[in-house]
Amino acid sequence: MAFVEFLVRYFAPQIQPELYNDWKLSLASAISTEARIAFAIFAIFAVVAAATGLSRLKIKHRFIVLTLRTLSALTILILILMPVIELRAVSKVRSRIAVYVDDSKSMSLATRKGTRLQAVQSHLSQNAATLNELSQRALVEKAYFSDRTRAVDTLLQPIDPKGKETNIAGLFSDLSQNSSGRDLGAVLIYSDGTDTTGLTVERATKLAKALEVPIYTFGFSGASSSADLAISRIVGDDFAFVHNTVAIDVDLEQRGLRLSSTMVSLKKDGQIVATKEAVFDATGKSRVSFEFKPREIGKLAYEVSVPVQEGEAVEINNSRSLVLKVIRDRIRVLQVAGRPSWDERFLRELLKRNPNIDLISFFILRTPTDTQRASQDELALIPFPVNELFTKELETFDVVIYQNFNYRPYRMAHYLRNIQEYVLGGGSFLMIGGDQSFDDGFYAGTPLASVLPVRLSGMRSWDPTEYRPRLTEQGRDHPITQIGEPGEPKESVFARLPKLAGSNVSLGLMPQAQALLAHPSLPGNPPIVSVRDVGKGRTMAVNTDSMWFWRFGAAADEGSGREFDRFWSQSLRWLIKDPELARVRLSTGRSVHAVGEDVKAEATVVGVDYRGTSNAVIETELIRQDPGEERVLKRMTTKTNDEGKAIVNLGRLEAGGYRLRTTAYQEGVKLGESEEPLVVEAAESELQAPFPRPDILKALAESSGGKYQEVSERLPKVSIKQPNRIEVNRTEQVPIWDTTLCLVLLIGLLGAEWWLRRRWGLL
Amino acid sequence: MLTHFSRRVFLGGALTGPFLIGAAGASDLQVVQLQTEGNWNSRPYGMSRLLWETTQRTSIEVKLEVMPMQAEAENLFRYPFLYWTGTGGFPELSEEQVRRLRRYIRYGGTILVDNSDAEPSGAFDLSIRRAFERILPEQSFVRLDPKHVVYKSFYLVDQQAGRTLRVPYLENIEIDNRAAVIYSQNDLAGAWSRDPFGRWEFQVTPGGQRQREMAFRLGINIIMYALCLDYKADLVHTPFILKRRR
Repeated sequence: MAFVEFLVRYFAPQIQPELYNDWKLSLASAISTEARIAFAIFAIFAVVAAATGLSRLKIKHRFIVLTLRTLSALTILILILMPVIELRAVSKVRSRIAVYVDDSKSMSLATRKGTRLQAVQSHLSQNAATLNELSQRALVEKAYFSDRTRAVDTLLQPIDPKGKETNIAGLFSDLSQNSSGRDLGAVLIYSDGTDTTGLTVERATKLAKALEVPIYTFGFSGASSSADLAISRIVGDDFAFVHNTVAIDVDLEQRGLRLSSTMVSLKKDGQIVATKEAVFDATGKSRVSFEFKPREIGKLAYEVSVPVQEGEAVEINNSRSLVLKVIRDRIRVLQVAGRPSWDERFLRELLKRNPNIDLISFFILRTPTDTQRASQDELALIPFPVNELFTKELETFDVVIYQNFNYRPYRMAHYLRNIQEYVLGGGSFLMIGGDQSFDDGFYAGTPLASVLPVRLSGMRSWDPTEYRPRLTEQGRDHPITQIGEPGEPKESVFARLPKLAGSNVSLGLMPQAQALLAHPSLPGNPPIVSVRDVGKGRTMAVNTDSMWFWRFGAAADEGSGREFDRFWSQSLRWLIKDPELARVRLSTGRSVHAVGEDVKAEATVVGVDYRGTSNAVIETELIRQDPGEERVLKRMTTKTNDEGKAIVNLGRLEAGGYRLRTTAYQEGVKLGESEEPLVVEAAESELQAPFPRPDILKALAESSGGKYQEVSERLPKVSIKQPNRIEVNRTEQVPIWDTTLCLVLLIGLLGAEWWLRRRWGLL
Repeated sequence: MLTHFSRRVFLGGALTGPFLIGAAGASDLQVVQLQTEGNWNSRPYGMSRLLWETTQRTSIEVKLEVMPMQAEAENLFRYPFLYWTGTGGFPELSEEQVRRLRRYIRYGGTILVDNSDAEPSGAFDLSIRRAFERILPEQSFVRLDPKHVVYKSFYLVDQQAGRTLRVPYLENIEIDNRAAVIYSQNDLAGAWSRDPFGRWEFQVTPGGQRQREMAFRLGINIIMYALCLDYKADLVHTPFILKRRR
């Protein structure tokens, strides 16, 4: 500073340096950084150039010449860069101390000194003098926090703690981002530590260390909190496979009740599915596991509950619900093919590739008329287990496929009735064409023909000509025909696919059947792909054996063949009544709602062509499932809009498990129905496990150099981290280049070098 | 799953009416034979004879005439079974031919390569290997496992077959767990060939009617494999096949 003072007195004698306590050197030149670098390189070059050709001089003389040249170069640089001394009067900015108080719902629970929040406010009030003292040393910022932070002027005002979550990690994010122009000096957190976002001690430790300021936390011990028993968590997947074991773990916690064990019940529709005893450990925690097998497909609501104990602070956390989406395990498909063929081969390849399909294939590899040139032991043929498949095993299949299969050589006539009953009872049947299928397989007049989508004539019907199937009006929006690329016009998909060849010409459609693709030129445009809802089941007819052209044939025109894959994938989904393809659908968005929320459901109705059905009457029942009985609590009627959608407003519902059942009608005809479970939970996440977590608060304090203590204790001495931030109150710039001295110095240095060089014989 | 099978076997069914036979559809087997430069049609009666035997012995509907076809042909992708045979070397395939054959295999086509020279490292063998190095550069021929489905897709075959028995294995190139290219170096078609008068065209060595019969069985198995893939590896077949192989 003394040297700076000397410079200031020399270059700007009018300035009083004692008014400033800091300085820094800066450059006043407006030239760019690149130009500055270029000048610096030039200066170095000038010195290096001066060094060449000095070998004839004595070492002492060489040193003198180089020194003069270096000083000249530096003087030129000073003139170019224009250095200035910036004198500054600076002062340190006071730190801030953040005081955060938890205002989440759990702070409303009772302690010996009123609610938890009141206990905190009492502590703040009693330590007001210490806090005032702190405000002399730093700026004290006050705020409430729960699911968000809220700055306030005072923390002593009585408030109703209503925060729906406690997010301590979110609080730290706010602390590190919100600087308000000051360095953070210390943090004071008042909370019960019941973080609802799953904060662990390890994560809390990391958060506190990253902040790099002392954190003082004030909480509640287990002993000071009220008695409670809670189902704190249910651990398990939210989906399961039907008929497969599902495991869920239930975490329980109790404080102040001195329970050694309790019974935990798992219920569905009010009926107890299983009961287990939970034994608490020394910390008051317990975990029980339930294993059960869901028997239905769809969304199923379960409830886990424990008995309410006397003196419990919160009763609503003694039960919790979970909604399980139960899906099929694997789709079991039986594929029976009349003979090996390309159509069979490409379909088998596709079905085998799909891990969700359990494919059982039976192909007729040899007919009774074929020559036998080997003993049975030299053949890999097996008996066709007709009786086994079409009696005992039939019900186990989700879809049965007859692919170009003539039943007569295998004396299967009486099994066709089994298939008819299987379909009427809810099964799915697909017949694929060829010269041994439909009329050519002699199905006319059989029980199976009565459930097919197409009408058979009893006459041979195979037409071998090529054609490009036409998308019908009914097929436009049907899921089975949605096989193009996203956004591709539907008609153009079928126009660009390879032509098909061969068709089993039928007499048209059976009642309630829809043709999705039709022959473009044969009289009456007979269906090529058709579907039918029959009884409780579904059937589909593909009146050709050339669908594989869409896979292999498409490759000739640089196609991907994916249309073939999608066609069969969508067909199977439709056949097995994939809930996502149901024609009456109901959705409540989330399956679990909180008490006080407005609950709405959206009903969607589509026709057989999968276009929205407008003006359909939607009748919705809100059903309460009690043990052994179903009570309809509400009935609502509305109509669908042009898109086939209707909103059903259920309003605010009491806590409990419900079932919504929607039935759609059009002109008095029932279109279908859909059911959806609905759970309304009273227990908010804040009250599900409202036990104080001093371990979290201790981790925050101890890993940051602060201290944890209970709110009943006095405020400790708070150490404040020194601020780095400074405030510049006044500046003055003193140029140290803009003087005659610089110019004279430069001329003098250059002149001296010239004179010495001349004298020492270099010029 | 299936604990008990009906005693009725499919062979015991009623006779199929004669009017059902012969109404060939798009899904029936039409074998196409690759036309290349060089001697590509070394066994003109071989494959058609195998097809005749196939239609006699199995339920597969076949078109008996083998259709010659170039790799560039527009309708190649209507026929997923390609027969590639010859004697002597042949010039390198064009880029377009290579591209088309690669696509043919990758999208589900099966190629049966039959070396009529029956000479490992002979001119045809070298040309074929060079061609497939370009068609499927990331794959190469490997020996077909003796337990592969090809050997049990219709007949239970446990030995090699062909006009000669010089190479005791088949080779294959596998794509997506499928033997997409099957290569015999024993001149299978030499054992199948009969002239228009019904006489065997070539002697089989070391010889015997059994060797010729095994060539037919292997040929039928390869066709059956192309059409049914790993059907015979399904669990339901395993106990029967194991019992018969014991």
